[in-house]
Amino acid sequence: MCRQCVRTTHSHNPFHRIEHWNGTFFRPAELWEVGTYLQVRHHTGVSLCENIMAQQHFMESLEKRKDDAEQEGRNKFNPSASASASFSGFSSAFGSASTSANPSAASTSASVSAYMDYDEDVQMSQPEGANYEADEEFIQYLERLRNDAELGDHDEHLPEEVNDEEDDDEIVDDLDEEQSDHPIPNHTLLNDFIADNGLGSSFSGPP
Amino acid sequence: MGTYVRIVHTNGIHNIAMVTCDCHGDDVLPCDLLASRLLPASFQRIRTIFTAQLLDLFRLSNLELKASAYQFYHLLQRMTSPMAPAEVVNLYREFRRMSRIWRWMKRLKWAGYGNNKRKAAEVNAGELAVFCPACPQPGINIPANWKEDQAR
Repeated sequence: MCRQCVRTTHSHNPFHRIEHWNGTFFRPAELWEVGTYLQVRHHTGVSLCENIMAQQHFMESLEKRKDDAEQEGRNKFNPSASASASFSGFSSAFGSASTSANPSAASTSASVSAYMDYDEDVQMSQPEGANYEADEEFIQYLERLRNDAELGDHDEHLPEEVNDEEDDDEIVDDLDEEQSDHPIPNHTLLNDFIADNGLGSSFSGPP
Repeated sequence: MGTYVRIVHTNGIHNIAMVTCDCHGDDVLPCDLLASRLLPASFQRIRTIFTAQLLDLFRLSNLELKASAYQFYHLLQRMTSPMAPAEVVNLYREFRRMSRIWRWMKRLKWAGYGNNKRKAAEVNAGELAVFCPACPQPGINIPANWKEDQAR
């Protein structure tokens, strides 16, 4: 399945384990590599407020670029093999990891190859001539979005958890820096996206 | 807003993006997560989340399999990365703490907290004990003169 199909089919099973065919063997993969994310609903009032829906649209717009890039690259590599499985789910020791929590998941950033755990696998998984976006390219894309908005110091608009390098929480203190450096959509980008696409004129972004 | 979190589930440890919203207040995210049966290991900057299914499974494994938290967490590491379980992040301390919090919360719920308008910090000694119908209860399942029984 392609990354979009993997993301869609796991929208209600975000803790499933998947595998990725890297050209030689199936390596263990994770759903964040195809852009799956948890969507935490409100437990009171409107469960899916405008803010959450706007974020969902924003992340889907980011994902579509990755999905299209994957399809283009795959077709260039071998048009006849476009249906070959690049992802395959497998059952864990406890079977399917479906959760009654059912935090609906959709999609965020990252091309299939952009956030691989192992660099050597990234190289192996990219067919020669494929037009995959690399991690750096994606970051440049985010930077370009910021520059297009012609805003000054954008770090001011980033949420605290993005700006803070140190995790001063005693309980959870060792999340890899690599993970914290993921391109997390910030308020500026979200607001730009909303303005560009005319989403929810009454929407007021998070403080 | 979105951030990447670590989810500890019954089939191992996952890293995944999380989309949240604070339009209902800055401090409601832990409650939103709890309503989704996700237990954050912290309340301010949430980066690690345990699922209720995992904590329930550990409680039953501890009861029936006599599995210690140490063994159970190594099982999670092994499931996360069968080839290199030692390279999986060590959340043993966090796991033990969340297990204790989970059991404490369950006892509070069984005792009616949340509905009886009382604060969880004001629990009296023995108040959360589960009534055992098999234990001898004077006037219920043992004779009234049980103190005079020579074989007691």
